[in-house]
Amino acid sequence: MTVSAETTTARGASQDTLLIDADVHEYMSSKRELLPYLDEYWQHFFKTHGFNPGGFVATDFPYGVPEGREWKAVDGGELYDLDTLRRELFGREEVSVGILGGFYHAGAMEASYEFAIATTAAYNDWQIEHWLDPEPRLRGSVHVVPHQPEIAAREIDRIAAHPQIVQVLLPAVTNRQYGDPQYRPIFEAAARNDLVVSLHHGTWTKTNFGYPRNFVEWWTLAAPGVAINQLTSLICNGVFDKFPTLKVVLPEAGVAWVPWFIWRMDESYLELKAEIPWVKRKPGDHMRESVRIGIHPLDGVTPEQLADLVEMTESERMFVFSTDYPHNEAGSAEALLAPLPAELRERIRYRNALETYPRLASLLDA
Amino acid sequence: MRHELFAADSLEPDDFRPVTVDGATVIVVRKYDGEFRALDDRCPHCGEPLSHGSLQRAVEGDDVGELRLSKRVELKCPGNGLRFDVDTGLGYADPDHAAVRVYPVTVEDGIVVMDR
Repeated sequence: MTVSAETTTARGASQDTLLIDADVHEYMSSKRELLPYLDEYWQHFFKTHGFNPGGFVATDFPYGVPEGREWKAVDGGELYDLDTLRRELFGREEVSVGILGGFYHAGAMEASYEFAIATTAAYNDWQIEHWLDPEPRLRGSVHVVPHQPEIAAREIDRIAAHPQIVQVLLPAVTNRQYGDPQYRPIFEAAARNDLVVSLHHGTWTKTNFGYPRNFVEWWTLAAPGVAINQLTSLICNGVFDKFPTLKVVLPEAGVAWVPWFIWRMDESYLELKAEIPWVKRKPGDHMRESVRIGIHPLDGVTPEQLADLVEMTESERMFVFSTDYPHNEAGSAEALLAPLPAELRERIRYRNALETYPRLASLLDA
Repeated sequence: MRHELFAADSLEPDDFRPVTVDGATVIVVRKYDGEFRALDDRCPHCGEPLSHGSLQRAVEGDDVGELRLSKRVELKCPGNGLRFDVDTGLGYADPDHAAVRVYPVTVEDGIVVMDR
């Protein structure tokens, strides 16, 4: 489905006010919503194996989530209700197009791969029927089980047939590195279908030391840590050299580590390139060309500091707008973006996303 | 200007020697194949003398796990590990931003001769 800039904004606004949100989470009321999308065997399995009826899968997340960081709609609406998202995201936040990243990430499961494969496929079909088909302002993800790369690639090909699918969602796991050539079928499938790969952390994501004693430690370290680890792996194992058109998006991983990472990786590469001769460009250049970072959370960086950070690292094309809806600690888009220089504000609002997601390019066709 | 440096057979293949020419230090390299090269003896990145570093064969590869020795020879800076192609002076990892000046060098009647 092609949606023009004129028809995708809540206010029928022009391209100048496009606001593309790269990190939106949709919810199920219960995992039982997946039952109609499973075959007879897995329906039976689902009903007979005491599957966790809560909102999570594949995690023993040992923290209570503090007030203010829980997942809830500001107006108290149910998160599994599309109308809640319409009011909050397209209404209050004035987002034009939102990219769904899911909340149920069975691909992070460390065992029961067949079950994970069945439920991710069911989830993909459920996402299309419950969110994408009824709402043309939404775009979606292909959820896959990454540790079965060939099967993941087939699922990408299957779901990519839907025109509102714009990315592959890989769970940002901490115990396997996606640069390993075994995962290449996934990136190859994403590239041949004009899909971005989004790496999103979850409650299964741990720090280098596992789950720390406190939530504050986990929140500080887990997402940026796994982002840095996975980017290092992708760059050093030649994924961006192999797939030069591929884009990888990291929502909700923070932003303040980006200069450090670019500078340290470039310095390491200058000295140690002989170890990875298949990497033909400096890591910082790969970052600027192939990696996009969601601006939520900003890590305490002020908009003015973000502009300085962008200038220091020549990364004006790297950052994309994201709310992490329904995480509501992000603040309004207007407050975040208004202080930015006009060109950078436009880039973060929508232009970087349009240049990143091939399947969003049609938004400018209007 | 032509400078006669030293007897060619006094420097073994796979070795190098710093020499002073018009007050400047130049590093003369004898590659594994016997060919001579001459470069400024200064890393353009950190300023360290390249003659305090090492001579290495370049490494090539086009995909993960492909590692093979190149015919190219590089000087490795002792300060930051940057490598410079002794034929071109270009930095291995950042050819657009780091290069060492190279000088024409020949062997005439058994003497290494440099033009600088």
